[in-house]
Amino acid sequence: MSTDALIAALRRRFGEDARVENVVVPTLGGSNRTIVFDLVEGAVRRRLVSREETYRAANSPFLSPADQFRLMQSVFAQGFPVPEPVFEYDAGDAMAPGYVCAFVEGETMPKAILHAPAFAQVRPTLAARCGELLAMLHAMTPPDLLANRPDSIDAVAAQRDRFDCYGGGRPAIELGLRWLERNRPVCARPVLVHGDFRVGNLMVTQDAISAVLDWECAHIGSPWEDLGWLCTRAWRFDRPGLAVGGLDTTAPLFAAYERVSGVRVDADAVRYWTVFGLVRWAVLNLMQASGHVSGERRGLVFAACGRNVNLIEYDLLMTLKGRYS
Amino acid sequence: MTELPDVPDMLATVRDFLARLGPTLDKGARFEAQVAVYLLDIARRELAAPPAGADTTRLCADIRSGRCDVRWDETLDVELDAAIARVRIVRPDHLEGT
Repeated sequence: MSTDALIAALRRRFGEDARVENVVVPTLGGSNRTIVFDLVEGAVRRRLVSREETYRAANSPFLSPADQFRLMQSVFAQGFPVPEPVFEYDAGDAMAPGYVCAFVEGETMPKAILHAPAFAQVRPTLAARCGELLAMLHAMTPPDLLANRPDSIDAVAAQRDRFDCYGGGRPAIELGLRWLERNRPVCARPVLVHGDFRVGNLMVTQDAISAVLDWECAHIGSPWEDLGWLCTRAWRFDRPGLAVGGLDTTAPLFAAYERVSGVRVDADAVRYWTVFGLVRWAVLNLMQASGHVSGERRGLVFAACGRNVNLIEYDLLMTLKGRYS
Repeated sequence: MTELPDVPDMLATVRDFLARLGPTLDKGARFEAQVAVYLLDIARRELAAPPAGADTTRLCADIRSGRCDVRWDETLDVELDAAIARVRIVRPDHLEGT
């Protein structure tokens, strides 16, 4: 891959002597291209990450890169562990919409975090740490740019609109949406919701969570939505019996959340949002499949997303039947 | 007259080739090869037992409007059976423990 455009973008901001070294292009990533590199200015070397949005689906549920950048600036300034935002690309760059932020050391791969011996010590602390981080996040002031997002106005209606946009016609998802509409808990305290807080988006080191990544689903909503998403069956990987990301039971998550926030966790509402999580995960997979089938953005993984919807629908129906928790 | 190899045989042949090729590839391509094998396995199972297509438009509208609320459990049961049949095609081991 050519890095000429990246180098040009960096030299516009850091001077003609700036150099780029140790370039790595991770292969995974749905709608974004990620480039990890060293920015070298004289004797100073910084490891940075470039993130560009290469594809935007119809009715995309994701914040624009510009809004992500501003949100990351806001939470970074409020002391939350997020990669430091460095600069945004603009019309003068030959890059897709995106930004550059600091590289944070750690591991995001769920398989490694859940099983590798290197994480044996930190693993038992992660559920509680998630509770602390979410309590911290939910106490922060959400930036105004989130107020008009469909997910901030009505999270369930936002999923229904996207479901219809990607073709609809699936009774299992209709059942899920109907159940969500009929059982909606009252949200007394709308907060800044990360929206994709789960194993896979947490940068984990051998002794801590060093950063929370992927802010593109952030909105304003129920605090229990973040806890519910973290506990959604799709994110328990090969350990469905351990609700918190396959790491632990909900007890340490809830206890840490309550200790830091002073707010009692509404376990029923968290369960509601795990059902919402399954519906939402199905709709996200339908979106990926829709990009593939329409020909806008084809690929093996996106094709597989289409058929994975069947697995999520099964989990959803088993949950609605009370056979899964 | 059936031309040989038939479609299931050709799919199985390509699938086995990709399964052997995968481990020799670098990390990203290896993952894609696994996904390719996964898709061909779905295709093979679906060809062997094609699901009956059903028009779901009316049912979806009834669920949405609340007309199915009075027969909620019954609707769930019917849809769960249909979902199980589809999971048997996509990834049968996803049903384990149920």
